[in-house]
Amino acid sequence: MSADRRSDLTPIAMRSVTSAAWVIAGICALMALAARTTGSGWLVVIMCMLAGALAIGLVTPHVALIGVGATATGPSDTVAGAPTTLAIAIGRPNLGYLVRIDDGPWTMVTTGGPVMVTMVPPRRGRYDSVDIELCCGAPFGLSWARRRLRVPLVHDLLAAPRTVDDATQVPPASDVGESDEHSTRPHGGEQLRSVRDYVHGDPLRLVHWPATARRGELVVKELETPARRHVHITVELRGGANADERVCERAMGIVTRALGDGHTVTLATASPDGPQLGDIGSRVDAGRQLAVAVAGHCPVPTTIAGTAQIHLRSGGE
Amino acid sequence: MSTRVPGARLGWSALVGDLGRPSERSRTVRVLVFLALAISVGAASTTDAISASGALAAVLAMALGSVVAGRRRDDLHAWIAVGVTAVTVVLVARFMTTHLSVATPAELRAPLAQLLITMECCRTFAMRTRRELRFALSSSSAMVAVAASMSLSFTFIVPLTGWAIVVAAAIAAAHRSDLRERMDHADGPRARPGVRSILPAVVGIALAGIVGIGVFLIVPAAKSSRFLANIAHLPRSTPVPRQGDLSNPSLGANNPSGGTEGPEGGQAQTFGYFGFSKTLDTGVRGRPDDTLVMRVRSSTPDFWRGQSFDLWDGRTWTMSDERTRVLAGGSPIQVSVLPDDPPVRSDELIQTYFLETSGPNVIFGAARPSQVYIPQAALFQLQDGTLRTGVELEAGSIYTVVSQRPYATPQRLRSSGDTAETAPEALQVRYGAMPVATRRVVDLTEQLVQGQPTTYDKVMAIQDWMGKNTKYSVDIPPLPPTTDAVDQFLFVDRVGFCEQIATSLVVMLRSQGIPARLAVGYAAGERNPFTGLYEVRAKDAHAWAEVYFPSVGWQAFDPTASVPLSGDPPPDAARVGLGTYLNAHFGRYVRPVAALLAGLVALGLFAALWRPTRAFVARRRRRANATWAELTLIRLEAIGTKLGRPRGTGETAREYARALQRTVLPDERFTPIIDAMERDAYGPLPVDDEERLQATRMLDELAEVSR
Repeated sequence: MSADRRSDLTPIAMRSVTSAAWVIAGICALMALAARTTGSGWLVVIMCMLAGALAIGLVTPHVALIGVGATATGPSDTVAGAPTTLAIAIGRPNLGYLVRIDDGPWTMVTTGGPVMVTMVPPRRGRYDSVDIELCCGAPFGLSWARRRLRVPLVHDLLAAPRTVDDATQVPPASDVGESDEHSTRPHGGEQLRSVRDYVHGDPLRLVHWPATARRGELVVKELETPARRHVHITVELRGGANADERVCERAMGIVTRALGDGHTVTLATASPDGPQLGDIGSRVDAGRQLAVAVAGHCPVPTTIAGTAQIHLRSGGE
Repeated sequence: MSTRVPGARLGWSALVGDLGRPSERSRTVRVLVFLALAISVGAASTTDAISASGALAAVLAMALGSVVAGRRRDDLHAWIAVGVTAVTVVLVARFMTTHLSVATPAELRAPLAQLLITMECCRTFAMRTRRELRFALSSSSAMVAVAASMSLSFTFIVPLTGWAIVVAAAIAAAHRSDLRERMDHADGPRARPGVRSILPAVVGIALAGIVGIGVFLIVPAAKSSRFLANIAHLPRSTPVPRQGDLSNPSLGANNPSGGTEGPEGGQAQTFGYFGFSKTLDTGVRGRPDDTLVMRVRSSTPDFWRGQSFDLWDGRTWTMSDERTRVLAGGSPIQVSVLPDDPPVRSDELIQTYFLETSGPNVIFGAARPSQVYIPQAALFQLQDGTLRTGVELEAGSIYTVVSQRPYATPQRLRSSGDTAETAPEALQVRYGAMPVATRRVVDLTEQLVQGQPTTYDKVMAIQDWMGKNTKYSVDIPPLPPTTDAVDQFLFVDRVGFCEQIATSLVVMLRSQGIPARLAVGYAAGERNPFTGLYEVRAKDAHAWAEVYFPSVGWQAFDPTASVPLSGDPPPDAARVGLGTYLNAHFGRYVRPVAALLAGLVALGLFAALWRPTRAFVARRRRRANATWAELTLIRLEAIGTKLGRPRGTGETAREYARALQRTVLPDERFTPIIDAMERDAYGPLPVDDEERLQATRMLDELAEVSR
């Protein structure tokens, strides 16, 4: 499926002969026996007809799966554990196949167009192919042949880690350091900058009553929105699949919360192409970067005053 | 899925199918299974296993049962299953008590077909699950098999082919239904009904047919067993005028028994062979036609001997001794072994004769008949071992003969040496005495057998000479009066048919003291590779020479026909005679059928290409003046159509692209393509070349995915 997992999967073929085939084989044997004792030539003809159907029924499913081609396409982004629909087109579809990804539900393929097959990526990652299982019993269903195929995706599918919303908070702007996972609540709300005379149309809630009382005329408050804080998250992975996955899931949670709180976020990870430091504009950006994060050297951010630093590090396995 | 029905857990499934299983939802499967049953009933009716009215009633009952079972498949009442089970038990019990104890296996076939048909009439009312429908197909195959074992005619190929196609289609349809059932969800596009959906089944059936033909070419032929092939039947028991006498109504006024009650009021039938009489005049020129006289079921071809002649007067053969002995006993009647039949190693050959026309009351048989299955209390055996019945053998008569064929090979025949010296004296006197023959016939024979040490070699030498110096023809000049027939044939005409040729061989051998006689009967006939029967026609009536060898008894020789010795390996392959049979019966249809097929193919090609051609021309016209945006939309529509989602009427390009993305191809590249297309079509300025190139490239990729 992805480059980093299930690499031991090879195409396999499983054969099973159905009870109907055994019944036909039994009838063939009876016909042969009857023909060799009654002398009836027509019984030989019937036996040959049934034998022909049996041979085609047993062989065709296996032949149909030899060299069968498939293409798969789907969305660019998904989330680990979330059902994702891929469009899979099978060569020689009119023969009638059942297709599924992993142990998902079977879908019937009987026409020329692709079919929608559900895939559930178990982990974050870059998926450049999917392993599909094809099953064919054409044309009579006398035997079933199965085959697993690794089908390259037309374009890569990036599976973002799950979002785990834990207690980790975005630290205050003044906190700058290397501490792991420490956090403080940011100063939320607006601050009073000055007062001015009332202008028609100002909302009543902005009236500064003490100043109005002192001056004898309406005075309203001028408020100032607090400055957006910058959050820098460093995700340092060690190569342990489960531990890395958990760290990425938590990083995703932190990014989601920080973005929700209105902070700007930068994310530092190591990718197969080298260190990666990116401004995160949305959860999708974070998901894409975390999907491809691997163990390695993370870029060191430039220390800027007011930046909250969060350093997530996997313990390895 | 269907609901469970009452009684599902009561264990009745052994006889009536699994009540707890889901019902078959495919109407196609039900219709095809009904058709298979109906055709098998029709096939049974062609072999008299069931009357036409009975078959019609059975088909109507099956139709009603299929409709009821199809409509009530989800709420089938348990009492229907119980009723069907009860009726089945009663039918089987009745069959076993009525037929099983009294009938021979061969006689069981018609009652068995009736039992199966009646059972299926009942079972159709309870055919609910796919397994039960498949069981019905198995029952139909049993019905067809019983009918096939009774069928003697090639016309059986019609219902058989129809049945095979319908059964294969039913199995394929059941497989499709099974596929749908196995599918856990159905988000994808459903199969569009049409030619494509049935194409695999059609191709599969065609391939199965081809493989079946291939199997037919390699499998061994059907073979008779004494236990199952002892078929015997006489439509009527009309006694011959004189018991033990020869009767041949087909000769009309020449009936040796003196009767003139032939079907044509005393006129000889066109197929009436004058050889089945008390005398055989070689001066008579008969020309038997293609009338089918009888069918013979036998595992190997042979001469079907009817009688033999021993007395030759230079022109006519007669039987010197017509005394008969009565062979009493029920069927099978044991045939006495003649004193001149040596006890030698022999093979058993079972032949069943199905008479298609009324004929002589002789029992035909190969080599030495040892048993005869015939519903008669007695048979009459002549001194030469040939057999006669005491009743007329009319069309529809069936009897089975078990013959012992001495193991004859050239080496074994040579081991008898010169039979003029080694044969028993009685045979020497009756069959080896100097015949009526001209001097030059005797001289020619002396010249031919000069230096040949054994009788077999002498026979071969004479046969070789005849093969090189005489010709076979049924169109020969009349025999002049008072002329020796053999002399006329060997030195004057040198053309003749089997009577002249075989008579000459017998006379020449007798001139050397070798015991020989003239046998008449039928040649093996043409083997029908489908029925496995030899079809014997009037023109197959034949005369041949039989030569006595102390090592094997009477051995047939015939320069005009190739009949294997019993020691030769029999042609144990179903395909034997296939080419000859097809060429003889269907050769004249090859050209018209080929022309018809070519015409149909041409018509089909035209029909298949007409719409695509029109669409192609229309597309070309549309593209000729189209803008880039319009061309892009055309390609998008083509992709969608290929994926099974054509553009709907009034659907905008963006709506259509979204629909494609949502339903058949979840690809994000639709959006930038549509953006570029709309800006190109409706924006103040067309999009630049780079953006067009990018959108076109993405469209190419989508087309690749959809392919």
